[in-house]
Amino acid sequence: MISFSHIYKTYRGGDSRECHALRDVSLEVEKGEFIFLTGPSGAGKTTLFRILSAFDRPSSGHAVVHGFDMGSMKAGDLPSFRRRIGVVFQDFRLLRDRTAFENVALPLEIMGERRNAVERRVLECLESVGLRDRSDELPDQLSGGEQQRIAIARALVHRPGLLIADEPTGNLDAHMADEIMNLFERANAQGTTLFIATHDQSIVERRAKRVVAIQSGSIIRGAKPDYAQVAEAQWRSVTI
Amino acid sequence: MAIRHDLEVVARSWRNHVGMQTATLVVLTATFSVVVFMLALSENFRRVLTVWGDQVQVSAYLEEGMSPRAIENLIEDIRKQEEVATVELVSKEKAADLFRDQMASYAPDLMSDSEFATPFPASLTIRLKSKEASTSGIENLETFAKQLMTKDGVEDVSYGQSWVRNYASFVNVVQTAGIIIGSILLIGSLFIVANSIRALISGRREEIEILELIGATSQFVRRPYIVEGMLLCAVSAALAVAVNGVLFSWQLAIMKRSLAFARIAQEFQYFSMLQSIAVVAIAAAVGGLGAWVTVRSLNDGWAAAKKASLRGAKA
Repeated sequence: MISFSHIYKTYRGGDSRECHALRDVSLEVEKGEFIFLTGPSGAGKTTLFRILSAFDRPSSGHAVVHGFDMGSMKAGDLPSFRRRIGVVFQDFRLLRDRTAFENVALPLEIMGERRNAVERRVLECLESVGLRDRSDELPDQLSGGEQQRIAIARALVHRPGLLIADEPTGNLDAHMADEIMNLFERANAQGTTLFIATHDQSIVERRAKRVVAIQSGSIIRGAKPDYAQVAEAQWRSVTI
Repeated sequence: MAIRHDLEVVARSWRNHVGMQTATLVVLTATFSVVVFMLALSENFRRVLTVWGDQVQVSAYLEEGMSPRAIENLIEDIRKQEEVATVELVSKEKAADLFRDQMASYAPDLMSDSEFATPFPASLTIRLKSKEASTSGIENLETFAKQLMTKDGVEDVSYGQSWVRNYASFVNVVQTAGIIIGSILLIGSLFIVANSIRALISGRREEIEILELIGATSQFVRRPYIVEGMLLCAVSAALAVAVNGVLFSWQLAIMKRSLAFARIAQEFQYFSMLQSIAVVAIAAAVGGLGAWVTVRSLNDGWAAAKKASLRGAKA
């Protein structure tokens, strides 16, 4: 599902000095895994997240996500790739002038789905995040936790194979963070591969999932798949 | 589905930017009003000229004492010419009758004057096939008149159309000025639309990034802006056609009263439904082009990444 090999991401600072946000990152993720990417602020989590979601390109190395080569991907391939993944942002990134329903419907509209199919699927997703009765409300009328649940519904509405989330509970209290994690676990149980960047250790500790730790741009733990978890995920996808 | 989505985006944009969109609409309507006015003006000048062209005729005054046989021969000779449509003989007596008829209201005594001696010679009234009242049409008329002067029995030729020549030149000037002013205004409206779309885009940067991040193609992002440009111009042009139509009807009523004797008011016509639709369609094309110029390099899928790179990555 994800294969990073010797990835570097380098930025040039104002004084022309090079700064490595990622250095020699190698990472393997199998289909169906649930992964926490942890590390302190400035460790490189967001940079890794940005490359995973084709939000940015690696400076060097070989990165393949969902069969797409992230280094050589052409602009014309970007929409096709992004339709195969779901992305959740810390700041939700919802369209302020559209209702919860319209925000969740966006990926399906982009894919040209039929109106009634869109309606059915969107209501199903809103139901699954417990916000069906708030579908006509604008993001500003919802709480932070509710906005994040809308963002998750939007990320899952088109049934992506991979869901990437960057600090999805960063702006939420502990109770709401737990609810969001439960939603992710439910999506994972249905076969979606989860890759969640977080610096909240309490969330990670409460769940027995594979943890990839990053520090100063390098992976220091969990670069290889947890095959026991992979087998369990595959077993679940067969029995569901 | 796609066009429905585009129209929903446009409707939302209008709701969110009522002030700016209204101002743009007013400016575009004013611009298109001038273009429509110029078009209607030159089209009507051309129409009047064509109608007057139908009435253009050549009078060949015959020498005194010309025998009926010689007149017959001359008529046959003229009829053989390719450009001639009709030739009619106006005898001295008929010319006098016509004169008396036309002067009856001004000099009633003339009608009863049995000794009124006709001052007019016999003449031939010749109508040409070409009814073109353009500058080239008048030139043809002049050439024909010169040839006619060389014929035996023809004392003088009058086509009395120097005013038509002046009018044709005037219409040419109006049409040329119309094309120049119209072109400048159309280019101006293209820039107005482009700037309006640019302003909308700057307010919707984040929306464009989000759409890209969830898999929207460039076309999906750009299309609503092009539809918006087209609608802005189409609505403005439709308003301009309507406003000019009302003003035209009002002016026509005044002309019919004050210029009744000139009998030209009935020749004036406003755009037909088909012409109005064509004007709106051309305006929509201009609007679409203006918007396309603005959005053609709007997004390449990396908009958000580029912005973040400028800021420096938050790692």
